[in-house]
Amino acid sequence: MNPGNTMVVRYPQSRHWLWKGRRLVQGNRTNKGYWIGGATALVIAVIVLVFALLDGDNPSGAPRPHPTNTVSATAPPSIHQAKWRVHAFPAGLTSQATKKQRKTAHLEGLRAARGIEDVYNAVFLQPSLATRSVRRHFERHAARAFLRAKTRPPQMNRTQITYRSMHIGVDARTSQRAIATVTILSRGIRNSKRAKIKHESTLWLERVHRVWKVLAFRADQGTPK
Amino acid sequence: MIKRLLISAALMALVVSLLPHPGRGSTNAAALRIGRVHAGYQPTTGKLFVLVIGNDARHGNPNGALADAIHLVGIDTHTMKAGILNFPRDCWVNIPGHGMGKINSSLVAGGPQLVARTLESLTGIRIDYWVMTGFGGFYQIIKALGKIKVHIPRDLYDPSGSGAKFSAGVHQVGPLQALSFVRDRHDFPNGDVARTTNQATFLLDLLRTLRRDVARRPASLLKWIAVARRYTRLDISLNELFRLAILASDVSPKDVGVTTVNVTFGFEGSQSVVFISPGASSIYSRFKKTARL
Repeated sequence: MNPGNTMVVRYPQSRHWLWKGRRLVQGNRTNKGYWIGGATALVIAVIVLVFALLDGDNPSGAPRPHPTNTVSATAPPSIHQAKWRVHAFPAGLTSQATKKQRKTAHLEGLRAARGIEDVYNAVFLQPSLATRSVRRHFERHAARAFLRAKTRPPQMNRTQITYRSMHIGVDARTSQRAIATVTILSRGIRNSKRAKIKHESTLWLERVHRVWKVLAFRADQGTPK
Repeated sequence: MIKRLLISAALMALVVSLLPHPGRGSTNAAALRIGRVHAGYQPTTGKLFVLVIGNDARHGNPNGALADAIHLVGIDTHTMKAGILNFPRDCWVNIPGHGMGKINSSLVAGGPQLVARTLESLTGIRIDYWVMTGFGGFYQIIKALGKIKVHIPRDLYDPSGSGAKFSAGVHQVGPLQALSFVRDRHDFPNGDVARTTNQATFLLDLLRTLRRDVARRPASLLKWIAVARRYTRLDISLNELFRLAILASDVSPKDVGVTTVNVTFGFEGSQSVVFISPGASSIYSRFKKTARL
């Protein structure tokens, strides 16, 4: 990384970030079975309708592009985007991991990875969706700091991500805490010149029920050597 | 038959409850413990203060231990700079509810909470957390973490006291050697005052080791938390411990100032004590305002 262009952003420095609660709001359950049945039928009908309309646009039934290669203002569909390389492993052990721990860490790691992929896909390829994605997958104060710190890459045309990887260590005992390191290499055209960006970040995550949220981060971004 | 089964089950439950629980740490004073000083209080200034206490609990004297190492660590969470303020164990201070006494006796009188309150009364600084360990907890933690690189300020040779035997410089030490280093006072002309400063140096070396591990592999922070959890009695939630660990891993040792309060030697009755210099109040107010030294 070219040190002259390196930007380092620390995790949120809010005074209260250590103690903010993370409980999900749980809705009230209803005992009225017919409401559930009706809602389910409605959802199925909507899904069928949507597929019918989409198939109308794609009569040949050709496979749809991978979500990571979706059209965006910065990355036309003809540009191939590198696939995510995700490695999830059990961490925080003082002895060898058991089979169950490895399996749980892998599953939870992939679950956490989905959210992180969503964020970085938006940040690099679909900037208009970045704010929503960050707010969805980051804890409130962390989201605010991430968006304020402007850790998004500079706007480029014909953005191509040439490499992106994620290593997630999941707490083997509880599977409720994880630490992820993300590396992304991208290139594109900026101000009529070719530009390259290397983004490296460390994310600290916590799981509440089944939802993983980033509660702190550290990001380095600059021009690769 | 059913009666026999019930009696057997009750006896088994009693036996199991008396067994030490793996992962919870020992309940005696030698184990590492972490707790909050004020139950409902949340810091609002971006400054965090943690009291680190080392007691002399060991086999043969598991409880009723004195606080022989007292360090107040402050972290400014905005700038991520920190300070360690050291207090020699023989400081003659006012212990709330117990009158004047040596600061290390406050642990026996009221546990880590009273040590914290004594320091709060002395410095005017509100303390958020306390961390306390004895010989056993210290040994287990260092053993689990592996060898630590320690900066030894001068040649040390104390075979009959702490067992320290080092040449000046940087050494990779295991748990017994680390313990001997932080206990040694006979090799220094000002005894316990120098020992207190060495203990702060050791804390910095521990921080350096943490950062080196985390820089090489960020997920290794979870191993440190697992070690703390295994050999620690936690009076705080794992969520808080995780956040504190994240904070600690982001503080660079070169951004940590270390100061030992200026003291003068004297006597109070027949007790050999040290008196804190009046100029220390300016250190307290600066530390309270900036969490740095």
